[in-house]
Amino acid sequence: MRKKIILRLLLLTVFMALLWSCRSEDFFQEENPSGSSTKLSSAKYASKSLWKEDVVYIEKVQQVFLKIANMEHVRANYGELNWDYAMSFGNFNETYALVPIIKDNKVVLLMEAVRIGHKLFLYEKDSQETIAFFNAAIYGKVIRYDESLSGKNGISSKALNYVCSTRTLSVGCDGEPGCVPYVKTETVCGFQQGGGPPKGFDPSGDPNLGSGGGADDGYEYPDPPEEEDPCERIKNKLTDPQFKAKINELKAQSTQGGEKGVKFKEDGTPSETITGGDHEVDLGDTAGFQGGYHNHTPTGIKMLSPPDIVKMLSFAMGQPNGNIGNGFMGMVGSEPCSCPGNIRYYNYMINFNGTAQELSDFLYSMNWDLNKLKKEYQILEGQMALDLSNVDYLGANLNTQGLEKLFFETLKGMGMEGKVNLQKIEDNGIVKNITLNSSGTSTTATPCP
Amino acid sequence: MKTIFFRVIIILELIINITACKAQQTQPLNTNLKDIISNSYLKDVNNELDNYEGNFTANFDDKTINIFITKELKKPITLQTKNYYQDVLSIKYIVKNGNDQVLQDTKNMSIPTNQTIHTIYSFGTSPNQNLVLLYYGGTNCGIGWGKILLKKLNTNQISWDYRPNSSLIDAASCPPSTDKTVYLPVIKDLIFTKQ
Repeated sequence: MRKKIILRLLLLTVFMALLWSCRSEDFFQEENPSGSSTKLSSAKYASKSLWKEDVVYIEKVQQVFLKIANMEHVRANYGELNWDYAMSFGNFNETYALVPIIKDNKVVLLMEAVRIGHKLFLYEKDSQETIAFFNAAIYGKVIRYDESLSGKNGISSKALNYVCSTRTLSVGCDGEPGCVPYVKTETVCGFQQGGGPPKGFDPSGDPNLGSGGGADDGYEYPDPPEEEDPCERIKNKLTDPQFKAKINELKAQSTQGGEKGVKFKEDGTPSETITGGDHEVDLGDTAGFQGGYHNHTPTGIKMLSPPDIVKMLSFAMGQPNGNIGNGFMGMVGSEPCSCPGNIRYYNYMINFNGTAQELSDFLYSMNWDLNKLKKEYQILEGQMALDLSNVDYLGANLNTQGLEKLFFETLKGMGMEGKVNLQKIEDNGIVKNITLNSSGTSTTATPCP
Repeated sequence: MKTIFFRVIIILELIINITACKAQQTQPLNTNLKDIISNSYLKDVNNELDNYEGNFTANFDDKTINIFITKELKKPITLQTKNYYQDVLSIKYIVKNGNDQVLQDTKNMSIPTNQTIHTIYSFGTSPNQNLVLLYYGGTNCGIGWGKILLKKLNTNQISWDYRPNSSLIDAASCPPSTDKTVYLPVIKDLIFTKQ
C-alpha cells in the first residue's frame, strides 16, 4: 500500500516536472515578441510604445524592480514584464506607469507603478479593457494612433495629481481572411483608488519585503524629482541675478508711476521689460513663460488684484508636464513712509495650489466678469481701510495685514479659497508664506527656511 | 430622471417665490459687503449723501474738469453673489483741455445699466472723516479703475482724491488702438468748487 503511494507520488512528481519543463521552454519561444532571446523582465529598457512615455520613470522603476525581484517567483506567479511597452499615459513627473505582463504571447495582467514622494508602490491592475488595449498596442497591426490629454484627479491630495490620457488605436488587417479591423480607446487617469485597497504586486515572494500593497511602506525610489515646495521654487528665482535685476527695475518704477511688466521663462530667462502706459501694461502671450511680474502704481492697491490672479491661472495652465504649481504672477508696489529709506516696498507672488481639473474649471468655465471682480475688490479695500485693524491710522493705505486679508477675501469671493499660495518677498530676500488664520481676522507669515 | 428634474424646478420656483415675497430688509448705508443680506436695502437714513449733490468744477494740468453729482435712490446692485439695493451718488463728468475742447464726456454718454466702465458710484461714507467713497470703473478697457474719495470742505467746496489701480490688459480684449488715457485728475486734495 505504502509502496504504491510512493510510486504514485513519484510518477506525479515526474509528470509535474515534465509539464514544468515544457512550460518553461514555451516561455523561451513565445514570451518575446521582439525576438530577443534574453529574458524580457530584465531586458534593458528601450521604449517601443507608439506614444511618448516617461522613460526616465520607467527605467528607474525597472531598476528598483530588478533589485528586489525574484525572477522565478515573478515568472511563476505573474509572467514576464515587457518594459518596452510600458506606458505612463501622459504623466511625465515620475509618478505613474503601467507595465504589461506577458504570458503565452498575450498580455494577461498589468503592473501599476505609483510613486509618492521617495516611495514606489507596485500594484496589480487587471482591468480587462486596459489589458485588451495593451494587447492591441503590442500585437495588433496598428495603422493609426492618437492621444488626447486632459487634467483630472480622482483624489483631492495634491501629491496624487494626474493627467488623464485618452489613447486611441486603429488596428488594421493584412488581407488576412476573417480579420476585422477595430479601434480601441482607453482612458487612464493615473492611479485611481476604487473600492477597497489595491492589490499589491509582489516581485520578491519574500513576506519580509513590502509588496507595495495596502498598508505596506513601498520601495525606496532613487532620486525622486524635487517636490513642489513653494519655498524651494522661489529660492532659485531669488538667487538668479537676472530675476533680481528685473524686480529691482519694477520696484524703481513703482515709485514713479507708469506701469512696466516682465515675463520669465522656466530657466529664469526674463523677457525684455514691457513698458506699458500710465495705468496699464500688456504682458502679451503667456505661452512659453513660467510667470510674470508687474508693478502697481503709487496710487494703486499694493496687492495682486483679480485680473492678476486670472493671469496667474493662464501661466499655470501653460506649464509643461502638468506642473501647474510652477506658473506664477507677482507684483511690486511702494509707498512713502517714515521708515529707513522713506519708501516701503510690497512684493507679493502667487501660484496655483489646486488640481489640474480645478485650474481648468477656474480658467475656462467660470467666465469671470473682471469688471465686477475689480469693483468688489475695490469696495472691499475701501471698507477695510475704514477699520483700524487694517490701517495704521485712519486715512492711511491698507497695511500688510490689511492687504493680505484683502487678497484672501478676494480669493474667497472668486471661489478659490485655499487654491492659491501667497508669498511675500521682503527687501532682504526673505520669503514668507502667507496664510489666513482660521478666524479670518488676521494672517500669519511663515518665513521659508 | 425627468420627474426629478421637474421636482427640482418646482422647488426652485417655490424658493424664488418665497424669497421674493419676503418683506425687504433695510440695512445701514455702510454695511460691509460680506454682511449685506440678499435683497436688502442699504438706505441713506441720515441723508449723508445729499451734502455732495451738485455741479462742481476744478482746473488741473491745463484741463477743466466738470463733475455732476446726483443722488440715486435704491439703485439695484449685484456684487459677489448678492442682489441688493443701495442709495448712491453718481458722478458724471466732462473733461476739457485748455482750448475748451472736450477730451472726455460721460455726461452725454449712453451707458448700459450694468456697465461699470465710465461710471462712478458711491459705495459708502465715512462720516467721522467727512468722506464719501466712490468706485470708478475706469475709462476704456477699465483702465484707471479705482477709488475716489470726496471730502466735504464747506457748502461750496469738496476735495478730490482719486487712486487708480494698475491693469493687466491684453490686445485681444483691449486693441492697441484704444484710447487708454485716463482723463480724470490723478491727484489728491484737488479742490472742486460748486457752480
